[in-house]
Amino acid sequence: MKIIEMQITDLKPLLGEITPAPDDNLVRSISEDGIMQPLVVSQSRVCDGHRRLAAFKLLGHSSAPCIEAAGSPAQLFAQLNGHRELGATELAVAYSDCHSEDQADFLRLARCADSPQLRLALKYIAENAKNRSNPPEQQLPLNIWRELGHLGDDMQRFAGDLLSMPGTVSEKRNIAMFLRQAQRKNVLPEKLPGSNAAEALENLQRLAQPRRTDALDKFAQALEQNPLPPGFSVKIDETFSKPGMQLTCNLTRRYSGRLTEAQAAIDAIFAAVEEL
Amino acid sequence: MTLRFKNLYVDARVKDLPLAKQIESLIEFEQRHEVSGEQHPGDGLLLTLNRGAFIKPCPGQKGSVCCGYWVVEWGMGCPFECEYCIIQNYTGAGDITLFLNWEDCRREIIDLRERISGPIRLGTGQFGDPLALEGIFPLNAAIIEWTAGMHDFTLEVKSKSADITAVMQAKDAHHVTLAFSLNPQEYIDRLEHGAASLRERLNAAATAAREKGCALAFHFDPLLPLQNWQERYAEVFELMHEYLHGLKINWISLGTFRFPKGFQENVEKYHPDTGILAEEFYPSTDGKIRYFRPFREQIYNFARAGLQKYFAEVPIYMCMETPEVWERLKNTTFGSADLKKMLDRSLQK
Repeated sequence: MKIIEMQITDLKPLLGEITPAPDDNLVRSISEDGIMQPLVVSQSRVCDGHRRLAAFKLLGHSSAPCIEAAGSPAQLFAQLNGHRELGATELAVAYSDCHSEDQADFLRLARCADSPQLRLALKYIAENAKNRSNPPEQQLPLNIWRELGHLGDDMQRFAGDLLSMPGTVSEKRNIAMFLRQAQRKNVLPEKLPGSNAAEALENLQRLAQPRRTDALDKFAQALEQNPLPPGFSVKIDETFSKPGMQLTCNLTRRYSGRLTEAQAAIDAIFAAVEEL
Repeated sequence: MTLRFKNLYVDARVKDLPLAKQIESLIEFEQRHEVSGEQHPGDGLLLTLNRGAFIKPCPGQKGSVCCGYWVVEWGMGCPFECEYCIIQNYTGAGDITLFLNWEDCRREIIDLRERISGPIRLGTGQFGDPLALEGIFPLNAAIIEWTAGMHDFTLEVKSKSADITAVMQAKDAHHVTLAFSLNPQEYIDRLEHGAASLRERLNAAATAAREKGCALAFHFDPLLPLQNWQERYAEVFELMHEYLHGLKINWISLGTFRFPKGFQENVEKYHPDTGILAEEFYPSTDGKIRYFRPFREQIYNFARAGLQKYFAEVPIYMCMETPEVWERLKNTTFGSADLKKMLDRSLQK
């Protein structure tokens, strides 16, 4: 295998603008010991060694040691990074570099289950990554993007907002799931119904899961109308997989009569919420 | 109808069996490959040996009330393409595996009868539609013959095909329970691609029962609450009465649509426009994903009441449902042993 010295100005990183910044350790190591592993290049595109290349640039080098490999740069990128799970954005950008006849092979090499939804999501992410001047701080994992891909043409309407909306990844995953449910039921809203993920999630759940919402509302109302005595509390399984209530009581000898009061309240709640 | 496959894979260990040659002469295929092992290479029909057990207890589901059924693992796959079918989780669409070492199957059935006391219900419909393949793989006809006269034994042949030759040509079919999966015709047109129509199934059931004296069974599984589901299912119950009035029905099962995690991806891969996932689904305690429990109860209550109107004497049970749902529908605790007893008793009537 021949190592060649190539001009940095001639090298184009496959990941383009989303190339990750090198960390201090890498910069220090290259500055003290030089590069341990040459970059892998195909058709003047860097397929492996994006951070090393960025560190070289930072250190003011004009050339870098490279190994010239044959094959599609995107496929080489997937193969050479097979030891780690690729992020959604880097996967999408590399995917967008593939010829259409190589896309299926690329996804296989990247160990992704191919589907029209995934392809749609990758196309959206790549376009979004190229057009955005400031990439969002939070990245969404591929499984959320895949879920959003199921929305088809409706994906455009929600993906950008979901990405920039404050909230946890777990909330966003559930939002993506509820959007899909809402679309199947033809109740998809015009835009995400809320200013943060928790709010949007609650509103979407009311839309996508009306049976559960009704049952929970009925329970809340019944509980309000039939308050339990002090020291008593009830819990229910909010998916209603298990029927019934879980009653907890904390009683002293002096207030044992509250059991009778609680019994009456519980009976009234059962009567009002048949789902229990 | 001749079955067509892109590839025919023949395991070297079965290539000289007369059954393999017979199947080869009855199907159409583009390419033939000789392979080794039971792993299906994909996109075609695989003829091989079953190195595991042919006869197994129905896998049921942990935490569900199950009926103590036995199943024949004759292979896997189905020429029909039902959009809700769980087989899509295990094998590619249209891929079929057939096991040709029938002698082992026969021995295991005889062993089972010797080993187990009391009634045995054995079914061939767990891993695909058995009658749909009977034209090339006449295992049902063979099992009917092997088990004729066997004490306390019923073979349930469950299908969505109206080709009941295996039963009609049997010398003795009194130990056969011919079962059909039913759904409203509108759902059959939309979701059960390639399967017989509702009237064809009911007509086949009535013909076999009248001419061969076999008992019948029906499975509403999955019950699908699609648009106007109550009206559609009520029409099916009425039609059943029209065709089956006075015939012996051993049992009717009900099961709402349910699936394991990951199944949705497969359904959408093969049937991207399916409407069957447009509902509220929740993970049950057994890990399967089901409709909202109160809604399941509503569906079961409706179906039970509708069927009992015409078939008051027939045991109606729920397949793979949780003990909580059984308890709420029957107002008493009801476990797997109770269900087994209920179905075994029905055989003795």
